[in-house]
Amino acid sequence: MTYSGGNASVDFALRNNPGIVKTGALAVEGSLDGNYSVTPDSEYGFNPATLEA
Amino acid sequence: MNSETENSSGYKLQGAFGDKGTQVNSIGYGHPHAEDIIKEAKEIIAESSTGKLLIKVHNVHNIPIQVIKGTGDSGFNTDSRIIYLQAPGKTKRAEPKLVLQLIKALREADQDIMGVKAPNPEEDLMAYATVIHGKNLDSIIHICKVVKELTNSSSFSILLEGIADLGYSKFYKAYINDATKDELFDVYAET
Repeated sequence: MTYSGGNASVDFALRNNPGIVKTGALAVEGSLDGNYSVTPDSEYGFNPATLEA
Repeated sequence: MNSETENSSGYKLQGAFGDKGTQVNSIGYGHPHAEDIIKEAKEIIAESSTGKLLIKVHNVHNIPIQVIKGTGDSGFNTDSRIIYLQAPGKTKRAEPKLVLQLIKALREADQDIMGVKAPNPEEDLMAYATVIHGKNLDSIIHICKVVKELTNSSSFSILLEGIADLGYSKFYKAYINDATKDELFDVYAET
């Protein structure tokens, strides 16, 4: 897959080392996997259930 | 997207001077059908639950979308924090490719808001490429999620054309066949 960001080196890096996909996915997984900057429960960018009184 | 701001003398300020450049076709590249394209694309995306969430992210964080005349890449610009879509000037509707590119850009914006940033490429290109591809993979998975959720909608067949247009057919096929993460990594790297 190519990255359409205008930096050819990024795609070159992938061609030379396909393993970076897994490394990259794992690196960002904790933040991204199933997460959104707005939760389904909130209109304000945070989940009210996580707030302390 | 064409916006004007009227000052006290009645003179209308346009472009970047009128509204900080966030809602305008401030330069001649602005697309004449931008509003229709954005509206239609968002309506299609919002038919899916994942798409609805991405639209909510967009609305809450007030991320500007600009459609410009051109044939180049679309996406979220992390410096300006604006989503740019490019479409030829004759385009009047949200073509499938544009809808999918908007899904991807919405997710890219979401990633940025969550604080997932790429390191400086000048310091470590491989680290930069690694994160960029990790983020790109996540965005493409979101395209697949939305399209899969729209399987029974009237937009589905044209969205599949868009998937093919963008070169994601093999990846989408793996996704809907419940490929493991490792299999998706391989397909991403190979295609």
